Amino acid sequence: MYHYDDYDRAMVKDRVAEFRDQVERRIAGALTEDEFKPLRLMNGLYLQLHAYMLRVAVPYGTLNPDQLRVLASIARDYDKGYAHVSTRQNFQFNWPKLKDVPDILDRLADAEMHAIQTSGNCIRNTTTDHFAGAADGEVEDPRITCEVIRQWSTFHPEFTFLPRKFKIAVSATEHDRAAIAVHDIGLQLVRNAAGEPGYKVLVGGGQGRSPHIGVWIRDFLPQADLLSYLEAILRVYNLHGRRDNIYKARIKILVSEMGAEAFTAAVEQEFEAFRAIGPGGSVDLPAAERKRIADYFAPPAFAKLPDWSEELEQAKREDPRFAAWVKHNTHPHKEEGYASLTISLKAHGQAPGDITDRQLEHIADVAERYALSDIRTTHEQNMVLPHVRKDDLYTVWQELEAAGLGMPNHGLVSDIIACPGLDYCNLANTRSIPVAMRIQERFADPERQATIGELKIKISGCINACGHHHVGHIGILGVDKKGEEFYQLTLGGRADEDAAIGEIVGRGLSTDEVIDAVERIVERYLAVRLSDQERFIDTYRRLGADPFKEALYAEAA
Amino acid sequence: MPKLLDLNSGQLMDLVPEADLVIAHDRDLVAEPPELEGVRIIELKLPQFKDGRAFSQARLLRSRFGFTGELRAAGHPIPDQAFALRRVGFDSVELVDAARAEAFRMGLKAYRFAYQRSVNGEAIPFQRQTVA
Amino acid sequence: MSQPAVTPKAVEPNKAVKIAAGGVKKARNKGAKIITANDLFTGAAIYWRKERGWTDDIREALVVEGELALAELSFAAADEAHSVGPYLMDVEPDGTPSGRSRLRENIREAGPTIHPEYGRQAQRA
Repeated sequence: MYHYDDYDRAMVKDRVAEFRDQVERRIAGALTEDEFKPLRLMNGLYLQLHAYMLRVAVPYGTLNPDQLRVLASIARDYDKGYAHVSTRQNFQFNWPKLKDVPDILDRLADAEMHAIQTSGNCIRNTTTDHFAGAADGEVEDPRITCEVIRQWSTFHPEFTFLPRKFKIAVSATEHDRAAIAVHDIGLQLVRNAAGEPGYKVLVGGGQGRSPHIGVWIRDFLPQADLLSYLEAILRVYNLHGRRDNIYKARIKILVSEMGAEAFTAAVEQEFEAFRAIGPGGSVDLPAAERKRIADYFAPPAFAKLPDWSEELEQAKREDPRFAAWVKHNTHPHKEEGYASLTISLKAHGQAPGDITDRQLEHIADVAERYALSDIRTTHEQNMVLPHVRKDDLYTVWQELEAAGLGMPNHGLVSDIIACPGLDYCNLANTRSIPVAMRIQERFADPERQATIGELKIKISGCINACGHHHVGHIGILGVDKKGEEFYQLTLGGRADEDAAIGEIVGRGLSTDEVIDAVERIVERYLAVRLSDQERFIDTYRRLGADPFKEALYAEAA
Repeated sequence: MPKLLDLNSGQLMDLVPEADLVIAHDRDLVAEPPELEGVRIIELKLPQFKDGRAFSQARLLRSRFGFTGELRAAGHPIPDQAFALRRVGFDSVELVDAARAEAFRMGLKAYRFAYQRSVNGEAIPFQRQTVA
Repeated sequence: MSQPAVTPKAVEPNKAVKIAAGGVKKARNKGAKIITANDLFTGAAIYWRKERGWTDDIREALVVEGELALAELSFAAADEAHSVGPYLMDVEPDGTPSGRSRLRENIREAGPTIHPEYGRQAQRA
């Protein structure tokens, strides 16, 4: 993975020193709250319902064991013993005290982490496939592109006061696990006819109160031109994005108001102007600097192994829970004899994405011993060990299971994305986590979950859609009606290469009703699917919303 | 009395002479290119610090339109923007309250490096391996 | 908590003020109110006392109405040394949260419903 050089270290340390001074000035009364608020937000520090919340950037979701241990130590020393994986691959702490935050940031900086640009109207953490570097069929490791973007976007002098926040995602495989279609910019790594690597570029995707699937504005952008093209897009957005209405300020609104064609023309005009300046004044990365970054992402030293592991097969035969875990939580690896695995943070009775200090340390130890010290967070609020030998899978699973991390439910009905909701969040209208917990309870039987198969339920506690409900196979949106919590269902959303926004079905439901409604939808799916090979989302695509609406209304009537 | 802070030297100066050209924060410079003949000082506005259009306008003026005179930031920039203002090509900031000059000077010194090229020809960080 | 030495910020009579609904929306100043904010140091919900100054116990909060509520809010707003973002929340005459943001205010007061062990409810027990 990438390691800081002296420049990176200096940048982050300078930032911590600056924020320490700002906190001291706020406490001493030299800064008003109005002045301090934008400064703390630029350092990822929010004020929520009961406490401050610190969002720590996990660039493209990649961590090493030492970083995990530092996160664990922060959870223990400055928080209440746990941390939370967000829906953008970041870590959040829910209970830090204001005066401790500079010390926390210092501790993070020593482990090459920071909270820079995790809030505010700037370019946020670039996200990618959690199997980057392990997935078969990658054009190249997408994290190289992400790191290039991380450096370029950090304290970008032109793009730190944009109309609204800005999110970029990168995918390097045909199967999109990074949800690029619902990002402000989505980059798909591709090769042209000559076999050269480059990007297919999408803009204007997003969720929130007006969900949009992005539009492709370029089929092939040479790799060397990436930054000037990004600058062109950001400049058009910075100059023309709406600033009169916060709800219309995202780039998706600009693209739809200008029209994709006019927007593309404006971007291409800016891009041509950059090219006219020539290499000397270009913002693009010199090949040597790109190579310096790329070298950090060279594949680790994989052993030459047979693809078949008798140890694995035997353990599967002897331990059915392990067999279920292998089926749902392991994924093919590009190297023979290896697998990637998902550590579910969706144990029943636990808030989706929460993880304790001990569990973090446990994963660090396991990763060091068995997984080439490489750890990922996922936007689905789980964690991943991308490189594990098949021969070691049973041992690894047993160790994870001992720490409460061996749930065999990845991709199943209980693997729910949920935003923090009204239990923590200042913007929320309703709670999300208790709804997730009750659905998990309702579908507690692991065999029933396995029978249902892949089903992505995503819950947001308000219209800002941090719980990605628009792209849930079943989406649940919390709405407040005169102080009571109600939930609106959407069906058929998806965030992959066939991305779609879910269709709203039915009226707002009470908490009790929504659990029943989800169950009725699931039962109807089981009744109408062609076989157990047809996933919920495939059945939905074949039949549309009607049979499910019928199931909802028939019962309600 | 409003004063002018020189972003390169950190000196506080009187606000003279006035700008020859004031460009509105919402002017589309690509659609309506400015007439720069004989213009020595251009003023750009941040109507509030969150409105960052002037940062793009400044870069356009420097790199697209080749403006080499003085670029002034007016309106409501905050000290934490000082470093960025200089890097996109501003030379000076109008301060309604001269007492804020020290905070702006601190802002200028907040970072030792930057990851992006400066239009002023300062350190080219992406070439840090070859330059450094 | 110590009582701050404050002078009130002027509240213009016709200016929309942050009232109820979580301090993010504007609302009419009608009925019984408590002034609430977040503690500058911990972020915890705090409440304005009759003797002025803040308490973390809602049962000690001052319940006020009308012009008096606005006047007290102006004192509270001037005390930036301890608090962030004071606003008026709707309460019953006995001082328990009411109205549209009842659930929100109950959660702010007690802690996350999913983690009874982490909120103020645990510290009281």
